[in-house]
Amino acid sequence: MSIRRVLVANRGEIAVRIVRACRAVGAESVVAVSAADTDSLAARHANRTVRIGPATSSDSYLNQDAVLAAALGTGADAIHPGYGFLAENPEFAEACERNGLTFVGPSGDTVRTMGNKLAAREVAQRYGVPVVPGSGHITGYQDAVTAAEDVGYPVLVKAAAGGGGRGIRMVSGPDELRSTVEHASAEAAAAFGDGTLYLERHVATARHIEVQVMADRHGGVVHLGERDCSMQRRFQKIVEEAPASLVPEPVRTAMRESAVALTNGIGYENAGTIEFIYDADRDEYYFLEMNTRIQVEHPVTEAITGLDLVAMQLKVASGEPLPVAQDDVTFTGHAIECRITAESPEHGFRPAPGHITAWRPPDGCRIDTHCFDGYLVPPFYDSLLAKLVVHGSDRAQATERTRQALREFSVTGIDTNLDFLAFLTGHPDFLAGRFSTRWVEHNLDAFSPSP
Amino acid sequence: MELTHDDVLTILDLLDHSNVEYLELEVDGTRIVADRSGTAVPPAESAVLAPQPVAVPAVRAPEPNDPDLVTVPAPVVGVFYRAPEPGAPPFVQVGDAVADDTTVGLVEVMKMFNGVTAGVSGRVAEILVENDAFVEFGQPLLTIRPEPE
Repeated sequence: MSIRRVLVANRGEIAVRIVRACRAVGAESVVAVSAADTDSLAARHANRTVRIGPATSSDSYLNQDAVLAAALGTGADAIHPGYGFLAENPEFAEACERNGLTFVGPSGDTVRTMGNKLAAREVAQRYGVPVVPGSGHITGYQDAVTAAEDVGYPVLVKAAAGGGGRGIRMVSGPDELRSTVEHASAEAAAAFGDGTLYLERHVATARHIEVQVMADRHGGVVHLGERDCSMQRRFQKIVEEAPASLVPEPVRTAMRESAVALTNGIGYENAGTIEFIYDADRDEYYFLEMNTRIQVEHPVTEAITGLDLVAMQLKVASGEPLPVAQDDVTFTGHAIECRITAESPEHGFRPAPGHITAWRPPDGCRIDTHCFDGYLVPPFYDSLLAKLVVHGSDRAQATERTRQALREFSVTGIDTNLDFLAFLTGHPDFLAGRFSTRWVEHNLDAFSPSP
Repeated sequence: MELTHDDVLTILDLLDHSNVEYLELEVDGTRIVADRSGTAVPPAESAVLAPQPVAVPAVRAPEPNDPDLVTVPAPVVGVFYRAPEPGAPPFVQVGDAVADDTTVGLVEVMKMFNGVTAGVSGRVAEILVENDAFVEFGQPLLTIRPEPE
């Protein structure tokens, strides 16, 4: 492989994951760390660490110049951005290229186009992929009123530059529209540097289904099946599974074909995820957005395909053709991932950083984590502690094993959402598949944490 | 072809007498990496991922032992320069008197030059990092023995 030394421009569990993939492909790893992460698990596992700045993300993990200087100063030839931080920043992808560094991901142009949700909708339509009924960009309140009448209430007001569940507001009627549009625009301008908004029809009984794709620069494209990420709270995923066995097979097949057509059409390279909404009432699916990075929930796909997606990313980025053809990709059993976070569900899910006095994960399943006995969860970053990934022969067995694993999982010293995850996966609705993206919102009252 | 121990020594010897900064050579699965820039990292281990002792960055200079000395850390990650331009005299030498706002060096990060100030008045005691070396954020660059102004 032409990539010899990879700078890991991320932290937490994904930095550990990337270091492991580097070893798998025989590359060296250099982990860029902030002053708060110098003793992180990724730092311990990597061949080397480089301190790039203080704890504050904007001065370290989001500081493009510091990350680039760290890569050049340590003789790295590639940068893996993980997810979040600089992973979907087109200027950063281009800056890597200008400095002779391989960005492990698609081109800056692709990141830019697909990063704008409105532009991505138009591109999807061009390749025959169905999109949610919605508007073009909204130029003001009056425009929004007209567009919302066309689309039909309730509508979602979305920031064109948003993503990952951020920058979305629901409006149930015309009364709320003015204040929401004004607020959302100001908020989007502040958060994403672009106040452009558009409207989308709100799908009441929605399942969030996404297709994993992988593409090389030689025209090779494969899909690696789909994931069901409908169990969400405030547009943030909590439990993900693969395959999406709760969606009819013909719909899943059509989604996969749409995903491959789009990936092919835009000349995509590296790992990508095409997110769809499945409208169970109408039995229709719509393109939502494309994520141009490795995703948090990639392990469920790995569990059912037996493939190492991050290692594949490194190989594809170094110019190698895809190691598998579509016919080589097989799907075995069912996998469920639970996101274990340092949050206190009994206190409105407030973040709960602090000292982990005992970290006791269950045996016999995959745990992607950066935690250990004595680890101090810093208050500066997101609250993800670990991903519990359980595989079974079918959905029922995977669910039962997940419940068992959650019972055995013990963390002391800080609050976690383990009880909440046990509540979700232990609920009759979960096993029966009777849930949509708004299930948590409707059932949260039924949750009472164990003493 | 297989590399013998003597072959490797010969290659390293040749390299030693050349102007080559960095060499990577792979013969039949044997890989030799020689780096004279001081930024080399050890080759990747193939062993199963297991907790290891905390990695000590290769270029980290030793912390001063003398508790009276004040350390001047790198304000950013980048390349440390002791002088305003190549060939010019350095900003400071060991023994020079400095005020808290005296510039004692530069750290370049992607063509942006960040001045490093002493932060304390006194005399330069040690210079811990060579000119043109890669430094990490917070890495000690020099030490100063404080003196009242």
